[in-house]
Amino acid sequence: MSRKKTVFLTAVLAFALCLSTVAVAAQQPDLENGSLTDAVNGVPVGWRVLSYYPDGYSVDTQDGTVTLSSLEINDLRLCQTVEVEPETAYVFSAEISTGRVSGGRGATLSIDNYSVDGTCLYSQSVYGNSNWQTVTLAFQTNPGQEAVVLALRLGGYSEDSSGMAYFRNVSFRLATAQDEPILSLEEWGSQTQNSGADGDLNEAQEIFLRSVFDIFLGLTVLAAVILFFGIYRNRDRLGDRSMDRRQRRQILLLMILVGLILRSILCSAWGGHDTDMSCWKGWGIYIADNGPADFYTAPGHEWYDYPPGYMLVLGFIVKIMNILGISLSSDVGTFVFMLPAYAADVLCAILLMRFARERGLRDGWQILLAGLVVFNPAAVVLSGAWGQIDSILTLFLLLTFLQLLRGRRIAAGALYGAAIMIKWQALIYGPVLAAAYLLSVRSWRDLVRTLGGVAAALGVSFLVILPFQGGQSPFWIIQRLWSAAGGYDYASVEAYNFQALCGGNWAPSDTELLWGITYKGFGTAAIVAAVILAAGMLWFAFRWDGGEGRAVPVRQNPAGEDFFFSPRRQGAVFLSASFCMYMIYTFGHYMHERYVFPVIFLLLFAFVCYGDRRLLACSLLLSLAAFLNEMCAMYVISDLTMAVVRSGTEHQNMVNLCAVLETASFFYFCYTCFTPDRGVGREAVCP
Amino acid sequence: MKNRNTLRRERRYVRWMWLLTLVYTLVTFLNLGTLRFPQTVWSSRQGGELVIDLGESVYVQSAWFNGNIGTGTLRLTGDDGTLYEYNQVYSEMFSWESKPLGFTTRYITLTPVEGDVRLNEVAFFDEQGVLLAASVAGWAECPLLDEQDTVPEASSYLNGMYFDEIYHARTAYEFLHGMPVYEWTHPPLGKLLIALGVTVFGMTPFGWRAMPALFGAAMLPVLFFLARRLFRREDYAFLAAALFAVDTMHFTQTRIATVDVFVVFFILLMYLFMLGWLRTDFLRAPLKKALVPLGACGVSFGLGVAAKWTGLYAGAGLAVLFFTALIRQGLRAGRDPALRSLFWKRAGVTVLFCCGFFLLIPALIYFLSYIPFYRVAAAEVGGNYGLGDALQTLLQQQESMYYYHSTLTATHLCQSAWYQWPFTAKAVWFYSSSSPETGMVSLISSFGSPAVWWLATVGTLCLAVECAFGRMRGSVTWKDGSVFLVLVGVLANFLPWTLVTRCTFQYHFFPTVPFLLLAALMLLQHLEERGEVPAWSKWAWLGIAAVFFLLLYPAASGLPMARTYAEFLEYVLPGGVLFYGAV
Repeated sequence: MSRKKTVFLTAVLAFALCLSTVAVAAQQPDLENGSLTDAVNGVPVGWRVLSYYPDGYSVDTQDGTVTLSSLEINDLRLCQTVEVEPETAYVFSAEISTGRVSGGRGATLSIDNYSVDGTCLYSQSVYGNSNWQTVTLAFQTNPGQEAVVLALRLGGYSEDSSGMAYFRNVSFRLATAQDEPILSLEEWGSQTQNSGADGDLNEAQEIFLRSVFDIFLGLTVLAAVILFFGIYRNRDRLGDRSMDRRQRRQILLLMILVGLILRSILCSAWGGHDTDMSCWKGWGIYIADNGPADFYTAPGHEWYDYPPGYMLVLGFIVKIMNILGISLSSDVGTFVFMLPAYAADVLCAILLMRFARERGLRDGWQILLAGLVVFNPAAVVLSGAWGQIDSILTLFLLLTFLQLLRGRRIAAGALYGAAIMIKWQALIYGPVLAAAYLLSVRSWRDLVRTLGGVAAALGVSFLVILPFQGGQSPFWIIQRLWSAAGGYDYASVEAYNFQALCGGNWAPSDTELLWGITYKGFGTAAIVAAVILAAGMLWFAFRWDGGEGRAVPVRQNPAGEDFFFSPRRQGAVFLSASFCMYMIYTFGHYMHERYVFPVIFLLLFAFVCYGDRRLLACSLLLSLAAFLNEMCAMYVISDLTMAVVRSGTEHQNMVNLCAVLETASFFYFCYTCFTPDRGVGREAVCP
Repeated sequence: MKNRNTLRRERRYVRWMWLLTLVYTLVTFLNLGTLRFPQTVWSSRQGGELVIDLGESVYVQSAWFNGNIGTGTLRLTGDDGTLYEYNQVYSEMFSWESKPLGFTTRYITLTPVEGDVRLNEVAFFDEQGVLLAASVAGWAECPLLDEQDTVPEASSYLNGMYFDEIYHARTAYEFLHGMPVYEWTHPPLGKLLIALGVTVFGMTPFGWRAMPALFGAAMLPVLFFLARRLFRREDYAFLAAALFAVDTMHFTQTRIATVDVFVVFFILLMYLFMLGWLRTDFLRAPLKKALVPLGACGVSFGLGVAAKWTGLYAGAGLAVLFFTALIRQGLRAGRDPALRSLFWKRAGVTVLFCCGFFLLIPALIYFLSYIPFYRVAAAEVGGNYGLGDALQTLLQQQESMYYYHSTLTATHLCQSAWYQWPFTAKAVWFYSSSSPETGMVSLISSFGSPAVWWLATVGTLCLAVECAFGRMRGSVTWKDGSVFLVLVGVLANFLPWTLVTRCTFQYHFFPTVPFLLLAALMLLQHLEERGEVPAWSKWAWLGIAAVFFLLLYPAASGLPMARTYAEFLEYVLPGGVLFYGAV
């Protein structure tokens, strides 16, 4: 055959095809044996039987009625492929009757195109014992769609049913104007997101995975009972103990040891968050091997969104491990990467203990507060199971505030620079810190030192950045910061806060929230309000306490250390820092689940200053919310389980529950901030 | 000294408890099941074809088959030769199963094809759903058509078996008729008790549910008396009974003919009697008087185990209580030689007595409960069936039962794990049917009331924490061992399930629930007596639980409800998955 002929024939065929398409478009679709009268071996002619489980079912056809029966749960269906036109509305209908149908989807009419193009649709479900009823399914085909698989169905994907389903008088026709709301054929994957992993998991595993949220909930309730009914309720009995220095040190050491064992158990059980752990290890190896110079510029490194401070630590850890010969892939290797965070937890506990002692709290209280840091459920999960480093950020923030309170402005600035280099979130505390610096200026010397603090922050940052400079533009770090800030353009990234409660979890931040306001708009307003309110809190505290903004005399405390700030002002610094972050986390956008973590410890410091038991309660409440949130987030984001879990209502329920808890705890915190303490207050915690 | 008025006021609750039991009994027997149910059986083996005459040629839309125990195929032929083949399967029995016929005929010929189709009754309906008068020529009393007055308006749980009744109630019927026994995965006593109800009320839904419902109601006084001994206060005892009465699982689980209700009843009874023994003065009270409750406890233990093996878990708790009490008494006797010898003497007698009443008598009860099995086995082998053969039958049954439970790997839609139970994560879905004409749905799920279980669970945890912080030490309930007994009851009934590998269900938590309730109430009483909680809070709890019971009543009882209401229960009201998305 010559080439010309081929072209000609193809053209003719194509023309004919076009014509026929036009002709068929107006025609009714061709369903074979809709009356179900002809059957061979019980199966109607033109139809085929499909099932998820290979046995335990039967299909029978008699006098135009087909019976699908399955004693065990199954996804049993009688299918026929029918040619259709793209973007056309059809109606699929039949009469259904059922006997003892239970579980899953029940008896339905279904479009089972999942194996063809990933689409799937069900009619209303019929369950139990029911008489004949007409069920219809009206739907619109997708662009380019040429065929649909019609199914008379007992059960559904991942929704197996058992019982007997009877079908008769099946019809399939073009839709008319009178037909009910017409559904579009949706991507099955977009409905459930579980197509990939589902096949790899057996049923028992899936049942376990789906029930893990119940374990988390149970653990949270257990933690709540211990924290509130046990510790909070007994705080005076526990705190009202005196002990000598040696005893205190022994108890602290014991707590550190038990905390370490607890975390090692969690670490071996969970093995850290998959992605984060492999990042730590990979980054550490790269820096240990190649040095930091091209860390951010090497091919494939463009997305690295962490500031460089902790990268140096990672490189250092890997070097040490190489020298000691510890395998990175072993359990011990994983645990080593969790140790810096645990060390930070312990140091936070010691700082809090010291601060409490300086503020004259009883020995029992000092130990109790240290215990609330070391065994804080939210901290245990982060530095034991997950392997994240928010504790380290918290440690540097606390050090910054404590230095500032002692009037060491330059040291505080340097530490703040380090905090920023650990995690960008440290910047959120910037406005409060700036306000505290400025409000406490009482002489030219203070002003010069304030400027010195800023210079120290920039200097430390510069020193950390320098090794990573390589051949980049001088302002590369600013670019990194912006790309990190907009890196996850979602209203909430597994942060179960107010925005998540409104449906913002993994919703693009420019989605409308209400009345044309986007999540981002609402979040921005909330962030501005939070900063203004926090700075205002600080301003009021300074005015009322010192009178007209003047500084009070330096206070001599029992430990002999000088505080630059009066007790109430110290409290105000911690309180307004907590408030700023807490409110931004609750109502802001772009939030991740761990951003609120430092607030838990900041609140404990504020409690030490004010002695208001409600602040302790706030810290415990937030610990519980953060604990549940972290566990769910860690579990959902870890890759193996994500697909199955994210699809379920279990996850959504947990998001809602946790978001309600978090938001409620914020409102309780507000109430605490803006009402005077009617309780016994300071007298309860001080000798 | 306690004020006499206070005492009198607290006494008053006995009357309230009896009233509660009466009201509960009325509520539980309301819509329990029908007494009108076909009793006579037709077997396809009784002879060849059977011709049913409908009087005139009519269109037969459907036929309702009420099956007995049998499997097989029956062919229904119309005048024009149209066929319908009815397959009787094991799960369709003692309920009205609708089958589509769809032909016009006057005579319907029934031809046995294979197996033994056994039917209690058949009913034919025309297009309008009107029952067609049918008869068999020359056989006026044909068992197939002799009880047409029992045909209900619609098939439902009221006039048929649902969920596991097809095992347990069926087996009760088999016991009564000396048939081979179908359900052997649990010991027979529970089914024997169901059979007792069937003997009185006939093989009707009411008949096979009567005894479970009666035992469910009888649990309330038992729990009351147990709680009264524990709390030494009648208001709290009444509260325990009342909260248990408004718990949805207690309600649902005692209205279905399965065996869980019996084992829970006997567990409560054995703890009641054990407490009776614990409260007698071991060294001073007359020995005979002390041994009576202990003996009763042993008998209850035997009855419990013969109903379901989970009674053994509760029994382990009894052993803990018994031996710790014995050790405490030994320590109490101290170094006084007279007291010591008295202690050893009494301890020896008591332990010997326990060997009899906790080993021999339970073994005897267990052995006797298998009599229906021996009857069947004896009938099979003919006359020569002695004690040895009986023991062998018993042993075989135990082996297969153990093998079944230890190797069961099947999974189930409604299964849930032990850590999911206290917060009622997944109900066990018993029954559902919908009526497209009225848009109503009828659903039964077995689940705990969140208002009871959640609070009871948190309360129990708090009680444990309170004990750990040593704050219970001052209270009476701690000193007299009530706290210990309740916590042992919780742990003995719950902890074993953490090790069970087969698929488990929320109703396996049922025996733990009363103890959970008692523990939470014990904490509440402690807090109230310390003045940390106002006295009305306990009544507030009962009020909330009662409201929840009213709200959940349709889901627990099968009362038809609007679909939107079912959606409210499933998606809005807290309490986990009830209907698995069926609404």
